[in-house]
This record gives sequence, structure tokens and C-alpha cells, in this order.
Amino acid sequence: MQLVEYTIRLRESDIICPDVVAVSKRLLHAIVTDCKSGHEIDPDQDRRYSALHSGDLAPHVTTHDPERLAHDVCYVDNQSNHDFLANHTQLPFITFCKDSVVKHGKFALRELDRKLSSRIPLDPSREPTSYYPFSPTDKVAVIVPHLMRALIRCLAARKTARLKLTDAEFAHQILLAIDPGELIGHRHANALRNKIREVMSMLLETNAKLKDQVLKLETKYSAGTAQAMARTCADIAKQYETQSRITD
Amino acid sequence: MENDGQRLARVSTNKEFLDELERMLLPPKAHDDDLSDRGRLRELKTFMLESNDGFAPRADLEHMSYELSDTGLDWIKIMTVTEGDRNYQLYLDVSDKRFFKLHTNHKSEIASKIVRELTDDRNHTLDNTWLYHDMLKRLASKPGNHFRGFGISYSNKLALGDDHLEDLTLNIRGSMASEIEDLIRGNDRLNKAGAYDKVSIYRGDGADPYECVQDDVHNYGYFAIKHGKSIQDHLHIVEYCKEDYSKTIQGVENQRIGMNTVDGERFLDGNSFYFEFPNRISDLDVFIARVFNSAHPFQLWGLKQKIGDGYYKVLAVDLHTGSSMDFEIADDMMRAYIFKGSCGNTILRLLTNLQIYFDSQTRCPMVEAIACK
Repeated sequence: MQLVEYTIRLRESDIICPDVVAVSKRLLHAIVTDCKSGHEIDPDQDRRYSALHSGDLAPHVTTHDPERLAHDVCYVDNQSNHDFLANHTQLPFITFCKDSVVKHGKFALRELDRKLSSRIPLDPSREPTSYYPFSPTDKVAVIVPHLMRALIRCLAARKTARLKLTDAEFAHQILLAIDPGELIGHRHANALRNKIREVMSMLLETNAKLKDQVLKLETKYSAGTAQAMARTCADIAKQYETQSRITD
Repeated sequence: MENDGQRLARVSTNKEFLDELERMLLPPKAHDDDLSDRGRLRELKTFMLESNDGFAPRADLEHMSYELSDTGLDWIKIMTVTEGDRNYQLYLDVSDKRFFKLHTNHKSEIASKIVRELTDDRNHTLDNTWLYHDMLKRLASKPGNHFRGFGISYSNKLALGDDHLEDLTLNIRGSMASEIEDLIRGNDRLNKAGAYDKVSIYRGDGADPYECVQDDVHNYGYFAIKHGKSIQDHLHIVEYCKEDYSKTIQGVENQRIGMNTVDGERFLDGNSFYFEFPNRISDLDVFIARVFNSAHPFQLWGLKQKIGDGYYKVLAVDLHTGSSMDFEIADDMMRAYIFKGSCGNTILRLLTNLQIYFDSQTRCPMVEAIACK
């Protein structure tokens, strides 16, 4: 995997922003994927993906022979949405079903197409979730627990002598805690920083208890206060989860 | 200011250092004429500690302070610890930049208190080394080492409610220790409680106390001479352990998740650590609350999120190093993710304490694969 949420300008001056670009060095082939959780395929986005030339992609990824790089573009979706989405594009799909991953359509690379032709089994109840934490477009309810954890991490590691919870440096520290693998591209990292500052300001304005516990931990770290703060954080996370369920 | 125990010599050669350690040993119990004082014997003991940030030359801890002073050997320092009006001196071996050996003949309660102060201090990242069951077992079978017994100190603190406490303490030594162990392994309930808390390891020739040693090696990196006076054999046991531990930690850290670059190619690298629980967790809520309660021994803070039926994600912080960790937990498994920049010691601390406080059969196949490579 070489690129995550990365912006690529095409030779026709359009841009695409795939979720993940994975490259096989051996096969000199890239898979450009866009994940679709909803019921919509934007026809213009679909046109831009179809217009992608390997030459547009080559400068952004690392291979030993950029000129021979080839690629496939595909959508990644869920089985529940697939029938609807499939009617709006000619591009192939990798579809997550209840207990397996399957492909629909045809991939240009024969080896890839053959590999994906048999179902890849999945344990539906045990999917790994931690390789990519969240995106700037996720709901506040998804982001808040990560902020709460990052807050504790900064306090425990004494990364900041004096915490100014809404300033850019703190947002940067939190981003490092959220994305220690630096997977996220610059554009989305900036969007995330802004989102973090916005959500953090809102949390501190609306929660005096949290603010008080942060101040206590700043002065003297203690397991007791950390536990109390853990409870506050859990309450806040739960509150946002409930709100999210109601608005959904 | 009162000096508790002897002042340590500023050794200037390796031989002087070994002689000094030997001098710190009082006559071994079996050869001690004055039995009336046996309860007060002070055995030589070594603690193996881990840190990514080196060993600070001085520090103010919560109840103590310490200062390191030089000897005539670059790799041996004298650590003078001050607690109120008392002073304690210990030798600190800094020859390894990551694993430090603290040698002392102070009473175990004093030595343990000093180590606890050091490892509790949040301004530094000193931690115990955590020797899980199979690592202790391997140590007992290294060339020249002979298994002479084991200890169990089990307490099921994690998976059951307060009214269902199961615990077991055993201290088995002698030539028939292996047979007792076989009996334990043959009983499911006892086997669950049967993770080593320590092993007794013998080295050398028993005819002469200066030519042999018997160490109790505890699972938190504590090596105590119980019989014999062979300092070299004691140090061989410690060194064997350090080699195995160092290799395992390095392998664990190679699996940390993050971006890696090889030949100019940048890619996502690393794996999660999958823990298997052959005996299912009976109460996941209790288990998660107790593992992630910010306290000893796990030192993990965590925020639980339900992500499926009987399946939880925990966003955690290792309070020892301040690193983020992610977990996914069900009643028969746990997946732990550590990220680039975090410390591999966390995984071994987790495995060791899950075996002691939950189930001795808890396994992490990736750790075993790394250790046995």
C-alpha cells in the first residue's frame, strides 16, 4: 500500500482522490481503489477514474520501472449496496460480503483477476479495524473516542508542558497519536487537524468536568485521575454515539 | 545520613568487579555455620530493566532520588539511592544501551522498592523485563542450565467477578519438580493456573559452592542467588536471558505498524499480535475493565467501543511509554496493534501478565515464532 486518500492530478487537468493505491513491484501493477459505503456513484468521478492513465499515476508511486507501470481502478463496496452501484459504472468491484470478499467485473491484470475469482473467506465477527483510524468526513461520534485517547496519550507521555488544547501544535500531537504510521496524505492531514481543533474546542466548551480533569493531570499525573478521566471520556464517547444513533 | 549496607568499591578492572560481587555474597545457606542469622541472609540479586531512553544520571523519584557515579570501568556505575536519611548503593551495568542490570545484596524488599520507584517514574521509561512462561522454560534449558523447580503465583483477577476468585501459590524445588509439573499439566483447572512465576536454575559443579549457583529467576526480570557462590554462573544465566529477551523484543518491534521504506519504496508494514485464549473469557466487560484500568501490572488506559456482537475495540494508551495501542477483543481472542515508535516491551508485559492473572494457556503465536526463529 503506497497511497492513502491521496490527490492525483490527471493530464486532462482533472483530479482524482483514491482511498487506497496499492502497488505490486513484481507485477509492475497498481490497484487504485475508491471505497463506497453509500448508494451513489458520482458519474463525473467515475469518468475521471476511467480517464486515469498509468503515466498520471507513475510519478506518485515507487517502482523500478515507472514507464511499464500498468493499473486497475476498482470500487470497494458492501454486498448490501452492490446491485445498485453496479448499474452505474463499468469499473470492476471488490465487494465485502457477510463472510467473504468477492469480485465483480473484470480486472485488466490476468493474475489479479484470477486470484480474485475465487471467494476470499472472512471471519465476519473478527475483522481488523485498526489499520486506518478515521477520515475527516467521519461523524463526530467516530472521531471523539480517538481524541479522548490522544488526550490521555499526550498527558501520559508529557508531550506538552502546558497543554493548549485548541492550538495547532496540540492538533498536530493528536494527529500523530491518531496516525502514528503517517498514512494520511498532506491534504487530508490538514483537514484532520482542522477537524480535531474544531471538535476539541467544542468538547471543552461543553464539558467542564473534562476540562477540570485535564488541568489536574497537567499538574500531577495520577492513576486515579486518569481512571476518572477515562470514565468521563467513555461518557462523552457514549453521549456522541447515542446522538449519532438518534440523528441516523 | 545513614548508610544502609556497605559502600561499594570503585572497581577498575573486570576481575575486581567480579570479586566485589562475590564479596557481596554472604556464605550460602547450606554452608552457613551460624544458623541463627539465616533469616537475614542477603543474597546477591540482579534486576534486568529495559528502557528506550537510556538511564538518566540522576533523578528525583516519588519517594527517593538517585545519582550515578563512575567507577574505573566505563560500563559499571555506582547508583546511590537516597530515601529520607538513608542511602543505598547498587552496581549498575550499562554495557547494553537498552537493557540495564542492577546488582545488589540489599534485602529483597528494599531492592524491590527501589526498582518499583524506578519503573513507576513517569518521567522516564524504565520498565521491568517481562519473562513469560515459555521464555522462562527456555532459559532453564539453555546449555549448562539445569531446571531445579518452579513457582506459581496465580490469581484470576481478570475474567471473573469478585465472588469467583481463583488463586494458587506454589513453590516447588528439587529433583522431582518436573513430576509435580506433569501432574499440574494433566489437570485442566490446575494447568490454567500453572504459568511460571519463577524458575529455579542450577549451574555448575555442586561439590564446591564457589563452582556452582542456583538462581531463582522471576518473571519480572529478577534473578536471586539462592545457593552457591559462582558469580560467573549467575551472570551467565542473566546474559542468556538478556540475549533471548533482546532478540524477541527486536522481532516484536519489527512488526510494529507504520510506513517503511526499502530501496526507496514506501509501504505500509507491520502486523497485529494475535493472542489466543483457549479457555474463553467468561465476562468480557470485567476483563476489559480490569486490563485497561490504568494500574499495575498492565499499565494500560483504554476506551471500549462495541464493534460487533461480543466483539470490542479498545483505544488504549500504554501509560508506561505514552504510546497508542489498539485492541480488538472477543471472548476467545485479542488482537493488539503497536505502532512505529512504541516499545515492544508492552507486548511481553501483556503476555506475561495475562498468563499470571488470567490463563497460563494464553498464547501469542507471533511472539513464539519470533523467539524460536
